[in-house]
Amino acid sequence: MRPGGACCRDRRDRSGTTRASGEERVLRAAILTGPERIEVRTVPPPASRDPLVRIRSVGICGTDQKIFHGAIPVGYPRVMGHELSGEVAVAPPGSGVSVGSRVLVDPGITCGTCRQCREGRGNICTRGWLIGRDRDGGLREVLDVPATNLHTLPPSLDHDVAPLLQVLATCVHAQQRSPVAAGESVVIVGLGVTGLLHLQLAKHRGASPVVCVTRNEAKLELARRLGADVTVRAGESGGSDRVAGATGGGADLVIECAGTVATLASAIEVARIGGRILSYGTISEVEGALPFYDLYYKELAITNARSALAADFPAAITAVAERHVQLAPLVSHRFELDEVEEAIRVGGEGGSLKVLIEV
Amino acid sequence: MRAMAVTAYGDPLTLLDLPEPDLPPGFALLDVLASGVCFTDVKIARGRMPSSADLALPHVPGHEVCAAVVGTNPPGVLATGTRAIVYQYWSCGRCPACRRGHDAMCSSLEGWMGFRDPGGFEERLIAPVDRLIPVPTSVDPIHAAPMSCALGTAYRSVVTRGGVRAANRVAVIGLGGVGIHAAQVAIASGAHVVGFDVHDPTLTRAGELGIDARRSDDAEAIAATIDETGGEGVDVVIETVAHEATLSLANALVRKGGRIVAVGHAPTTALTLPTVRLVLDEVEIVGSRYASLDEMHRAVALVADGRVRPVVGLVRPLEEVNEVLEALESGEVVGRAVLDVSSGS
Repeated sequence: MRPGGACCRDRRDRSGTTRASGEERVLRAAILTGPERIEVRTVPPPASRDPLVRIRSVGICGTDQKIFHGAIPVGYPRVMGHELSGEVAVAPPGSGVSVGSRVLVDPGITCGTCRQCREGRGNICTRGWLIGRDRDGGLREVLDVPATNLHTLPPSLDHDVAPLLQVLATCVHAQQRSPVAAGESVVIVGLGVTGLLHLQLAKHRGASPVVCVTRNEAKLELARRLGADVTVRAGESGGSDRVAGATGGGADLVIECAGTVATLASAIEVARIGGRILSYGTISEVEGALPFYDLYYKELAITNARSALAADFPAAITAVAERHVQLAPLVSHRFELDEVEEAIRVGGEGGSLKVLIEV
Repeated sequence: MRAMAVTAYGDPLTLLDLPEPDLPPGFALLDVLASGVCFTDVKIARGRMPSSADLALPHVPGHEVCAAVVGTNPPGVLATGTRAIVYQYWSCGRCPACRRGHDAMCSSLEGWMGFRDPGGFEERLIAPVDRLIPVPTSVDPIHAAPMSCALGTAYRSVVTRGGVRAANRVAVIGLGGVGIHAAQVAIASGAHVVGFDVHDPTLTRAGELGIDARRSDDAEAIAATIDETGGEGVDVVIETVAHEATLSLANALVRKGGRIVAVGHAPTTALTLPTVRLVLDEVEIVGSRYASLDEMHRAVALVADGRVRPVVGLVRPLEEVNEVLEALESGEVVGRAVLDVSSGS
């Protein structure tokens, strides 16, 4: 493991275009052979008519944690990894991509024919696949990806942070589902990676003020650096009053990013009468206490958001390229391909933010 | 009290000494601090409004008011000295439009400040307490006054009717009182904005505010704007001028599936759009009138946190309103013109 801010130029430089071509020798992959068992093995290049991508950087997220521990069932052996960036190594004729292009991967592959796909909501396709869960993902040196799932990265965007663009795209999608309008007050509950991205996006969209709530003082400090107008430590004495004071009695929109019933309850509490809640964090609990009466009394609209649509990726890339959203401060740890188990362990710890694997 | 009133259409406004208004229940008595002057006031003064024939003269215009509360009936509803801008439509709350939440389209207005009822070109005014929007003390009255009409109208056209959001490409045609604020609201919303005008001082001022401002009579600038979208055209056009040429420019700029928001209007101008664009390109055209009370509050929030700066290019004392109207007619004013009503006596 290396410190979060560092990158590994020498490794990258050694893996030049010859190796990236996918025609060469052995390729390595971190293969999940069963719950909590990962083996780094050599594999042949993917046999595919799709473009081949030389993977450079992979983000580890909560879904990977659940797949690793067996909480999300997958067929074994499976290569995880769905937050991916790399370079096109092989570009079939007519694919519209060119060898050497730096790309971000949209990991959602859609069927194109189900009800959701037909209405333009391919991100919730019922027959689709998630790269890294339903088919092999990017914890390998070369991966085949449909050309429609590749988004070109501008030169200003480095692989050091690029996998976070996939996460940002899901936040962009969520803020389209419950659109933040300039001048609206927004409260963000939970300041993991997604909370800190939602903060920056909401500011970019003109929200005023943006109030951030979490237990972790270091994350509150980071939120202030990233533009939060007001920060409140969850559970602090008078915290609810401070949120209410900052939002004029309640927020127009509360974005719940912690993913627990208790934090959804506090989101309901700090929303204004007639306000909206964006339930973004994935709640795995199946029961718990919510102020149901407030849902009625405040006539709250609760919107859920899942993954991103194809159009959300260019929007995410633009937001970072134009420096409205910073990604680098959200990377806390970097590992290499043979350290995936350690990366997953560190990613599961409370204080970490984004953990990246440099392939 | 001093008032500048329309006494005959076409004549200069006349200085009158009027009695202070009575304070009916539900109203606040206000000291007018500043009053914006809009091109609509030119139309009111010259008798060119649809309602001109029915307006009782003398009439005191002024619908962009920043004022301080002197008292309320009953007393104490608002603290004395509270600084506020005034929402111009005093709607009935009972007609179908009001019941749909469209205050600005009320069919039986109880008051219409500056249009039918006395407005801010006088020292003291009454307004219903629920039509007052407090403004932060960080914004001085001269810059606060245009927030009610110029900024509020801009906000609704961009955010609500235009649906402008981050990463949208937006063109604002005409960078006058509404347009120069619309461009700022669109930037605050995270959009990529190009503003068009023909008035060099306006283009310069817009540039100082961070707006990418171009000449609307420059074919190359127009072509470049479309090229920069990959040839598609912009997502949203905010049209504030209502001339045939600018409406045609809106049509040239908007992409397939995009939207034109008409916020400028003139009784003699018709918007024509080829049916091919309407049907095959699914171009949307929406109108946008003034703003709701809530939109006004959100617009004020953008000023309070510094994302939008009210643009005032001309400030004169109340008695010089006629010179201000002439400056507006000649198209010389950058942003809004404002009367400093609290000065002089």
